[in-house]
Amino acid sequence: MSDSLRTSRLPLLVALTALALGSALALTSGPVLSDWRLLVAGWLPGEWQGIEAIHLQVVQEIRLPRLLLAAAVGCVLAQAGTATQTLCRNPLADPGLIGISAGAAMFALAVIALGKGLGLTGSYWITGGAFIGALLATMLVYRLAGGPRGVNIATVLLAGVAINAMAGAVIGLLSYYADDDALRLMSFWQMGSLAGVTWQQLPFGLLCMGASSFMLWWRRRAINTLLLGEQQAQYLGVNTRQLKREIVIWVALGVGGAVALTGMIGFVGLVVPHIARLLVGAPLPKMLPLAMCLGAAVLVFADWLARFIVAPAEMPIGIITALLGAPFFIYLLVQQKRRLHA
Amino acid sequence: MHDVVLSLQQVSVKRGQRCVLAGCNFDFKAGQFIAILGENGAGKSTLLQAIAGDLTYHGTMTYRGRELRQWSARELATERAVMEQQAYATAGLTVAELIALGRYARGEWHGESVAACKQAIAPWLETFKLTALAQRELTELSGGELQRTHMARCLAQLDDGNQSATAKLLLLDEPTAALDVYHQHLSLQQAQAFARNGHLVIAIMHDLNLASVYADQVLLLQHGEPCACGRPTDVLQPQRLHELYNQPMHVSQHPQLGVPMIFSEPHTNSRMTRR
Repeated sequence: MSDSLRTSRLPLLVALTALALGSALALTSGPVLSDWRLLVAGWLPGEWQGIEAIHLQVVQEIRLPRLLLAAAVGCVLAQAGTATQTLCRNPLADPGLIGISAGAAMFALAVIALGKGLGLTGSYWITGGAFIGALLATMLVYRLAGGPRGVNIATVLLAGVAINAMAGAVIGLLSYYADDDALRLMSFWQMGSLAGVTWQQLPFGLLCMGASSFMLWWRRRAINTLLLGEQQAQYLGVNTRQLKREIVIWVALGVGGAVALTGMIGFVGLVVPHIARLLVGAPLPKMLPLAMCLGAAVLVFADWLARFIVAPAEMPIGIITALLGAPFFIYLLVQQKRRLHA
Repeated sequence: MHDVVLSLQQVSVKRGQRCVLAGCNFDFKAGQFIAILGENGAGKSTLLQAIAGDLTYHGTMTYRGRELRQWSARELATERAVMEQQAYATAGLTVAELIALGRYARGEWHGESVAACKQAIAPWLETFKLTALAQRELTELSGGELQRTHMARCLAQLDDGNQSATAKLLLLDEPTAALDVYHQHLSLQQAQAFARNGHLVIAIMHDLNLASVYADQVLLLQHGEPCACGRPTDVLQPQRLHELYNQPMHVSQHPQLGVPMIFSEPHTNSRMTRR
């Protein structure tokens, strides 16, 4: 037997290259100045070929934190999607579709609304609220849909519809109290945006996402056994009860951290793991690194598009991911239907 | 070699208020192939799941002298393998990748490398005639190929290399349901050979003749209670089988093998009598 396992190096290499290119693009283009030499100028002392200190400051203070956030959120959403899909044994179980992001957004908004009165205005409070919302939503969905024979995907998606509707209503309520600031906020929460992120906002959310990302990666081999169902995973040596609890917590932490900083960005967790699986197969040890890189690359590009298409204005990044992801979702539905009726 | 591996005393299982399994008292020894027989709903799968450590049971069940409840999933992972009745065909997984999943515990806790894992599964691919299918996706397999893959996975899970000091436990729920005649014998021969190496195999079976050929002991279950247990020659009697399955049976002896040969006969009266 020469090589029993499909090689995953080439797709990973391509994904990494795409991420690098996307990063370069994100750093060097924008309304203030688009110049590839910005990449080089940062390393040189003083002024160089007409690039001024203000331009470098734009890169360092505006574009760089934004790039970092986009990559982190893309990576975490792809991982969370992979984990929930493996847990539910269904490729449709995306954190956005099943209401985890909506739960996070709802609670983050509640903290913002109530926090002013109570003095809880720091980013940790918002992130903490988003985490709790995500956790409650995940537990609710899993409790509703879980059964002795695994998870019922129809119930999962319907629970997602309910939670998304509720989040929509809560966000809609805001519009009656809206000043201009709040209106901008609404579009932020519904469609997601990475605009205006600063270094000061990042640390706590990045910490949450980093912890989630690390733990989901660390436990990839255990999560991988769930491909054979919960019972067989137990036979293979996994404490499935504990593993499920872990997955719920790490997914909630990651999605909570992402939503608190960027609002609801849909479909990344659906599309990216699916593409990764198509390229290298379902085993997590191979597809997870690829999904992480692809997720980061996709979101970096999507964010660049969001800035580019209507420049110098910006559109919410969720519009882009939904435009790309929703048709894909329909395609997956058709495939599932075909499999059921084959 | 022939010490008791699995011992059940007054084992019973309840599902809700209903007692689905009761009065199980057995000692199963190493080196044996046990076939569980019985009509649909007799409690066969329940018994197998209880032995697998899946269900809450009453009474005592000891595996290698230690109460089954005290074994952790991690400890059991290299000692007992279970082939479920429903063979999953997970999308995006190849035959080799599925069998490699059987080595999960060894990779996670016993430091087995990917290369060593490949080496360990190669003979099982070979044995079950799956080498040519190794890179095939599970969703593209036939039912029989899928069942063989799961069987290979179970045996790879329990494979310690050459030296197996401990008596392992292989639990099979209808291992031949999807197989053609050739592969039925292939799979059961492998299970039997595994038992002969000092392990214990317990299989739920519906084919009485295959049970008669391969089992060292058959265990008959009726309405959640064992009604007979012993060598096929002693247990597989026409009258007893008729009562068990509510179906007239003709039993004769195989001229060469000397084991009972069972043929189920149509009911003599036109009306099927159901209890």
